[in-house]
Amino acid sequence: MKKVESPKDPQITTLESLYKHLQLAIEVEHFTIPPYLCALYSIKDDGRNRVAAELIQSVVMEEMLHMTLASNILLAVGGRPDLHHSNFIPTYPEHMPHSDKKFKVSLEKFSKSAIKTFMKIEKPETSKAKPEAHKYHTIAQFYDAVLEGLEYLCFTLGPDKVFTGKKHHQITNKYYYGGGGRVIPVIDLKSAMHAVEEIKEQGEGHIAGKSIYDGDHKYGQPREVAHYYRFNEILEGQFYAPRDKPKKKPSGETFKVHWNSVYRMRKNPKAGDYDPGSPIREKMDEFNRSYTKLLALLDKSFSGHPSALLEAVQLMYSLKYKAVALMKIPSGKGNTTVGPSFEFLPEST
Amino acid sequence: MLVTKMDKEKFDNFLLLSSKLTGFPKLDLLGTGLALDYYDLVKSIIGDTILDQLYNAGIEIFSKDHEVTLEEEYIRDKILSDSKFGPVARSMIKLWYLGQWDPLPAGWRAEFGSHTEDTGRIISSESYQEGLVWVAIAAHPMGAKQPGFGSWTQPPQKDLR
Amino acid sequence: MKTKVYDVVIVGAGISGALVADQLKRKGRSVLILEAGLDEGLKPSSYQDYLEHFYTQEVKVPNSPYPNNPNAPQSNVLDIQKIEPGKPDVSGYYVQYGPLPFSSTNTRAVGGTTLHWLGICLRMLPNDFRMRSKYGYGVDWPLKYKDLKSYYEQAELEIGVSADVEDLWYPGTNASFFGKGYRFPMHKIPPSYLDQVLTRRLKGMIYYDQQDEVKIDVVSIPQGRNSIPNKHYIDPRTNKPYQPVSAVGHPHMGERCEGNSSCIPICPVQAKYNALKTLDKAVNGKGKGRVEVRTQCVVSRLEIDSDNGKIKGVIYQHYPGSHKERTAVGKCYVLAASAIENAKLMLASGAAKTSGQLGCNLMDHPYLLTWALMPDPVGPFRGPFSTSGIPSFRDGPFRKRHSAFRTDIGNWGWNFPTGAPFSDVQLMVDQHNLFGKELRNQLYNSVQKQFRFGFLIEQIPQTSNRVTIDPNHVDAMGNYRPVIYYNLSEYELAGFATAKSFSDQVFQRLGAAQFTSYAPSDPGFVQYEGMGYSFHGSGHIVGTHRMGNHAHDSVVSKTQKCWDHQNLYLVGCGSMPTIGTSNPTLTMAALALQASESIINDLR
Repeated sequence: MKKVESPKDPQITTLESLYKHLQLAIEVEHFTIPPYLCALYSIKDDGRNRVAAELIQSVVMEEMLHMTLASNILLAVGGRPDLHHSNFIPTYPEHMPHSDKKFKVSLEKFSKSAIKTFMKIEKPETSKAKPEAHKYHTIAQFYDAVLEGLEYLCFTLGPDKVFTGKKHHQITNKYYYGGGGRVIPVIDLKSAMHAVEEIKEQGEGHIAGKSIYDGDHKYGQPREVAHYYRFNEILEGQFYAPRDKPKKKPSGETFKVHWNSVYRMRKNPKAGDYDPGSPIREKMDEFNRSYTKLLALLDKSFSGHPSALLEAVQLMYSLKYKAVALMKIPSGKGNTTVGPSFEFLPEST
Repeated sequence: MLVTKMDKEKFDNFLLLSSKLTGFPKLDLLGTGLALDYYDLVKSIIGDTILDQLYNAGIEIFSKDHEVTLEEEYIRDKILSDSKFGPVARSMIKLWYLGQWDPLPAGWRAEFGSHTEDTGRIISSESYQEGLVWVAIAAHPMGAKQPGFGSWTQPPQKDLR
Repeated sequence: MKTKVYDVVIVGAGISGALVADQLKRKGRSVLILEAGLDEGLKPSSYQDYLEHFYTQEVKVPNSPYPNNPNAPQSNVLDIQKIEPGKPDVSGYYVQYGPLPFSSTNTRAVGGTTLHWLGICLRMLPNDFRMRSKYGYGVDWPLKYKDLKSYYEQAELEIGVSADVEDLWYPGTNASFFGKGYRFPMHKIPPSYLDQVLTRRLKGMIYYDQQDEVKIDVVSIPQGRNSIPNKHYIDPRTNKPYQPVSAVGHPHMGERCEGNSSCIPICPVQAKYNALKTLDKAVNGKGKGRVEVRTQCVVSRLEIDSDNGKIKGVIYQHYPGSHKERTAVGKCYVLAASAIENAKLMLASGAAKTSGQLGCNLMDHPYLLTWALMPDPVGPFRGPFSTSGIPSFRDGPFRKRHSAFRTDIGNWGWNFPTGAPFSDVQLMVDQHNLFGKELRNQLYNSVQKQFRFGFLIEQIPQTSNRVTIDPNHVDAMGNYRPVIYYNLSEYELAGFATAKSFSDQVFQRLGAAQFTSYAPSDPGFVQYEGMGYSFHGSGHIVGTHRMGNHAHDSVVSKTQKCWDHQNLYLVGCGSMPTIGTSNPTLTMAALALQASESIINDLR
C-alpha cells in the first residue's frame, strides 16, 4: 500500500465537511437513478430494444452500487447516511447537486436527447481536471476531492480517529446482490480508496478519457465499457470493439435501437397535476408512497440494519412494476402517458 | 390507433365493460398496456356490431351508479345468461385474467359467425405476464415480475399492487 | 485430412458431460463434446428466447421453453397417455409398451435436463446403498456412502448448493453424515411462509406405520440455487470465500434466487444452477481452447474394435445438411446423454452384452400428489417449487414392506395436480359463473389456501422395466427411438398407500379440506388393495446401465467404466443401481466427478 501523504491543497479538511460531502455523494448518485429508471421503464417490453434496455439497466445497477459504496465510506468514518427526508429527492428538472449548473436533468422517456443528457452526467474528467468539492464539472472531480479529504484527515488525525464506524454496519454481499458489481466493505483508507476507484471507473473509465473500459476486470469481473461509453453505444447503435479509443466512434457489433418502441411518458410529471382522489392521482400517490418507503428502508439499511436491504430490494421490484404500469396509462394530456414522478410522500400523508 | 372520436368512445365502452366483467378498475386495465390490443382482438373476432350490442346491453346499468347487487343481477340477466353475449363475456374475462383467448363455442359460431382469429392461444408473452389472475391471487406471474430474494417467507398479502 | 484425436470424446452437453469436460480440461486434456441439440442457451439472447417461448405456451410443462427438434426429438409429458394392452403408444418420442406409461422427460439441448430440473440437491442416505443386504429389496451398490462423501462435497461446490448443515436431519444418519465442521457454499434458501405454518402445526407429530413409530419433521431442502454466500466457506479452487455463479453472459444476474416461481421449466435469471454454467467455464474459462462443443451432432452408434472390445470412434450425423456419417476419435469415450439415450446408443452399437442388464432396471420416482385447501391463506405461487420437505419416510424398518419416500411441500398451490391458477379461472368463469369483484375475491380466497404434498416413491429395480430398440421405430434422422417397457410393483404401490394414509392424517391435523382425487382415466392410474392412485413422473430417469462389482451382473464398474469396453465410460443416472429417495442429480454429479478421476488416471 502506498504511504499516506498529505495532499497539497485539500478542500475537505474536517470530519464534518467530509460527512457533508459523502452525504452529498449519496445524493449525487441517487440523483441519476430516477431519470435513468424513467428511460429504462419507458422502453416497451417487446424485445426490440433488448440491448438498449440491458445497457441502461446495467448502468442503473451500478449507480445503486455507487450509492451503497458512498454510504459504506460514510459509515466507516463514523457518519450516518440520511436518505429519508423531503430534500433528498430532487424536483426534476434539476441541476446535478452541487455541480457547476451547466445543464438540467429531466424525468423523461427513452430518447436520443435523454441519452445525450445522460452522457453529460457521466462525462469523463479530462486529465488536467483538478479535484473539486464545490461546483465540480464531472463527478470524478468531486470524488477526488473526497479522497483527498480522507487522505488529509488520516494524515492529520490518524486513521484510528477517522475510521471510527462499526464494522457490522457495513453493507456486504450478505444482503447486497445483483447490483452492478461486488460491494466493498470499507474499514480503512485502503478499502475507502478502493471503493472510490470502483465508483469512478465504472462511471468514467479505468483511466478517465484514455480508456473506454471500467476497471472491473481487475476485480475478476468481465470487461465492460464505462457509463459514458455505454450510453454512446446506444446512441450509435453499435458496441465498442476491444481496441476502440475514447475519442473515436464505436466499431464493434451493431444493434438496432427502436427509438419509437417506447411509451410516451410525459416529461417531468407531478402528482399535483391531478386532483386529489382522482384515479391517476391515487396511482401516482401509491407509487410515491412506495418510493418514499424504499428510501426509508435504504436509510435503515445504511444506518446499522443492513438486513433491511432484503426488504428494500423486494420493494424496488414492486416499485418497478408500478412504474411500468404508470408508463402505460394515458395521462389525459395529448398522446402521452402518466409515468412515475418520484416525489417524497411519507406513509402518514 | 384510435383515430376518430367515435373510435375513442367505443374503446372507452370496451374498457368500462371489461372493468365490470373483471372487477378491476379501468386504470388497472390500462396499466397492463394491453387494453387496445384486446379491444382490437375482440372486435375482429365478434365484429363491430355484436361488440356494440354487447355494450349496449349493459349501458343502462353502466351509465350511472347503482347498488352493487342490482348491477350484478342486471349484468347476469342481460349479458352473462344471454346466448349471444354470455360466451363472449366469458372469453373476455378469461382474456383479461389469463392473457389467453378461449375460442367461442361451436354453437355460437354457427349462429353468429366465425373468424380466423377465434382460436385458443396465449396472445403474447406480455399478455401472459399481465394476466389479472396473478394480481387477484396476490402472487406474480410464474417466471416473471420476480418479487426478490426471500419474499416468499412473508405472510401472504391481500393485494400485491 | 487427418482426423484429430481428442483425449476424450463426450456425447452429451448436460451436467455429467460438462463436469467431466471441465475436470479434464483442468488437467490439460483435450475434449470434444458432441451435442445433438442446438447451440441455444450458451448465448444470453437465446436463453431469453427460451423464456419468451415459455410465456406463450398454453400448457406449461417441463419442456415448454425448449422447442422440440425433429432431428433430436425429446419426450414431452403432454404426450403421455394411457396405454392399451398389446398396443404401444407411439404418439410421443418414446414408444411405450407399458403396461404403465413412463412419464419422465429429458431435454435434448445444450445444458441438457438441468435447463428444467428443479435444483434439489440431496445426498443419498447410507442405507440406500445397501438395500439388498439391509431390507431384502433391489441390489447393493458397489460403493458405500462414505466412498462417495468427498465427491458429494465436490459436487455441492460445482453446482453451488445452498443449505445450513445444522438445519438438516435425515433418518438413519448421525453427525458423521456431513461430518464435523462441514459447510455448504451458501446458506439455506429461506423457508416459505407455508413451510413455517407446517413446521409449527406438525411439531411433535408421530405417524404409526404398523408397529414402526415415524417421527414427523419439516426440514429445509438443500438446493442448487443461489442464496446468501456462507462467508466461512472457503472455495478450495480459489482459496477465497465462495462467490455465487451468476447467469451465463450476465455477470450480475442470478446471484440470488429472486422468487420467480418457475424453477421448472425455466429459471429466468439462472439463479438455479444449470449445466450452461459449467460448460461456459469449461469452454471459455482458464485453459480456453481445450474443450470444444460441437452442436447439432447426433450420435448414432459407437464403432467397436472386434479384437479388444475398445471403442474406435463415435459415429454421428450433423444437421441440417446431407446427414453424412462422420466419426469422432478419442483415446477415451464418455457417454453422458441421459439414461435412456445412453442405453439406446449402446444397444444400437451392439455393445456391453455380457451382463444382459443393458437397458434394464429403468427407474423413476413415481410421484404421488395429494392436495387440500388450508383453513387460511398460505401465500402460494411465491418462491421456489419446494423449500422444505418431510424426510421422515426416507429410511426405516418399513422398507422391508414398502417403498421409502420423500415428501415435498409444494409452494405453488395446486399448480401440479390441477393446473392452478389457470384452471381456477376457467372453473370459476365457466362453471361457477362468477365475474367481477366476486370472481376476484373467490380466486383469492380459494387459490391462497391451496396446498399440496408430493411424494417421491422409491422404485425398486426390475429387469423387466427397460429401454430397448426396434428397427420399426426410428426418428427423422433414422436413429432409434427408445422403446420402453414399464410397470410398478406391489412394493411401490404399498408405498403409495402409506403416503396417502400419512397425508390424510396430516390434513386432518391441519384442518385442511381434502381435494385429492385420482381418476381411472388418468394415464398413471393404478389400483392397490381396493384403492386407486394416480402417479406422475419425477423426471428422474435412472438405471439402464447399472454399476456393480462384476461384469456378469452389471454394465459398468463403480467408476462407471464399461466392463466390456475398457476405454468407454457410461456416466449419468443410468449407472445408479437403486434410486433411493434423493433427487438423483447431485449423486449423478458426484459420480461424474469420481469418473473424471478414473479417466484422468487411464489417460496417464
